[in-house]
Amino acid sequence: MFETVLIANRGEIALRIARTCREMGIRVVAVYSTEDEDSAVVRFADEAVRIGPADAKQSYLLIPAVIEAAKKTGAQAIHPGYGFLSEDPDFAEICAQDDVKFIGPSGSTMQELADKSRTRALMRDAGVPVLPGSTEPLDDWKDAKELADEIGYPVLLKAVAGGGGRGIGLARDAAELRGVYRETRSQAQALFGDGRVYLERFVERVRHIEVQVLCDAYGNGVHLGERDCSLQRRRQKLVEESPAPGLPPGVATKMGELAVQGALAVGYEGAGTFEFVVDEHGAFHLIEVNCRLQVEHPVTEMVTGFDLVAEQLKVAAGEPLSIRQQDVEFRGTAIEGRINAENPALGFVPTPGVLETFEPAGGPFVRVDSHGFPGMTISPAYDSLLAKLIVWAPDRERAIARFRRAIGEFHIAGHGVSSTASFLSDIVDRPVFRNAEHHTNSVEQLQQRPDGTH
Amino acid sequence: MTDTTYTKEEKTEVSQDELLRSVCARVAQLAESSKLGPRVIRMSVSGISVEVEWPESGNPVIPSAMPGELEPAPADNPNVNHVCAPTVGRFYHCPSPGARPFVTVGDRVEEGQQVGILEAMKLMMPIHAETTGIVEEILAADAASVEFGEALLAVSPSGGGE
Repeated sequence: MFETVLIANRGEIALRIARTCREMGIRVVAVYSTEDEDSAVVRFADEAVRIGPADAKQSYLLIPAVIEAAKKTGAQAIHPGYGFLSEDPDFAEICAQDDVKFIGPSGSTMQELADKSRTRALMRDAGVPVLPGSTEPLDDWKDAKELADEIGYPVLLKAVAGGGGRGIGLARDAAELRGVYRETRSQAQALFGDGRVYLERFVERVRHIEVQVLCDAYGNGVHLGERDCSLQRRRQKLVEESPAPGLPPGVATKMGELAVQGALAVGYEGAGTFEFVVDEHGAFHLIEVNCRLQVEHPVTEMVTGFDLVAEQLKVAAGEPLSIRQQDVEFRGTAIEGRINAENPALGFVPTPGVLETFEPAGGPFVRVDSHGFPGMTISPAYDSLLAKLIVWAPDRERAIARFRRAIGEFHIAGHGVSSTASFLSDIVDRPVFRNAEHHTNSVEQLQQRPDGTH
Repeated sequence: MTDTTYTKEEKTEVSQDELLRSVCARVAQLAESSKLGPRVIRMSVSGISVEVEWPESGNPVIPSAMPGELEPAPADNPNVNHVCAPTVGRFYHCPSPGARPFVTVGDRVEEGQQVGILEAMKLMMPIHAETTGIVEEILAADAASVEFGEALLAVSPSGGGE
């Protein structure tokens, strides 16, 4: 096992990774920008290196600074967390060249899966169902139209380099296609520096369900069940749970098996997530593969009892997978809510400021992953995630009750600071969520019809 | 991220070594043509394909130290200016091992004069004095590993210091 691991991230995830390292007897190195001098992970770490100014492009995203920090501290491995450098194939490759272990899949695997149209081709060939559409970028709108006419409308145009719900355009009919094609291309260019787009069939009323896989360097792989992340606002996840409620029997298991099959087919190493859309009848199709630890990984940990970061570290250190599929048992229901420093009343605008009061929830079967503390400055330079509340209960009904009880215990206040806590409490109480009839557009619909009917 | 991408395809009869050298030279020229350091350079030799990415929106890849943003460096004397590390790396006093150091305590330096080298990932970055004055103290040892914003040298503009 590694003696020293550097965490190339900030916020709650940096602290969460550091905690597992400490439990495993691994020395923790944090890196930080001038904006995060006083952060929770800097306080927690055994050593901390200041790598740059507030602007992430010159600190958390600056590869030479991170690599130099690893050399300076003798770190043998780098955990990238999520976001920042976590899915940058170049970074993974540079780590390999500098003899620092990148905790995640190889640069070449990441390169292939970062191209979403290439992912579709690879997964289709591996026997994983993908939505009808293109497996190569469409360089002309006429190609897009020809294909759309063939597979039928509505269709989505998506950035090849995209992910995380950004760079996506919806064309409901042939007349809309040209405009949407052009718009998505320029958006993709602006967001990802890569204007290439591909096309896939748009399915209405879908649930977003993803499978957690774990593979070692020796061709072994298991899945750790699924997470339902259908409660979203503008394609940003709000609430996630495991298991996915109300799926027809056998569907989740089948998705898990196919995800492992897909992962092994591309030589995947480490923890990864296979994202699917599932329609009302339980038909599922892969949309993308995420080569990193997900924000919502704790729900999987709570229902399986496995520490995903510990498993990532073991795989990265070259150990064979110690979990066999038959060892994976699922108990009860876990629900996670993302508490963001945002104002729901003002269109979820981020609310940076000083956190004067921060009292997280506690009590039985409650987990809070957060870097917050009273006096902390919520920086406008980074994302607004302040805390994740995760609860466990033997069944879904009790999990919802526990979630609402716990989220009500949060006290978050500060000049100009708002949070999404009460919004989340309200949303999980809606009949559409309680009855597990929600889909990816439910939140928008609820906001239009506050009585919760649909 | 890619503001400019140059791809060059050439057919020549020279050896791979020569090819590589000339490609390297071209890349260096390319890199120098902009004030900004490139973010990524990808090269493949046979069939020569060079891809250079510059950071978006014209931000220099290697940040210049921003003293306003940093905790004040050991500043007993408000008249002393500090030359700070622009990134994480190793600070060298001399242009090459065994050579005379760029500056020593008591030297007069001009604004923009090179006072050291910072190495990050084998990239040698010259460190310049930001003000004209006298070198009061060299705070980072030769070949020391330094953090972003760490004070390397103290320069007193008055020339008096005390």
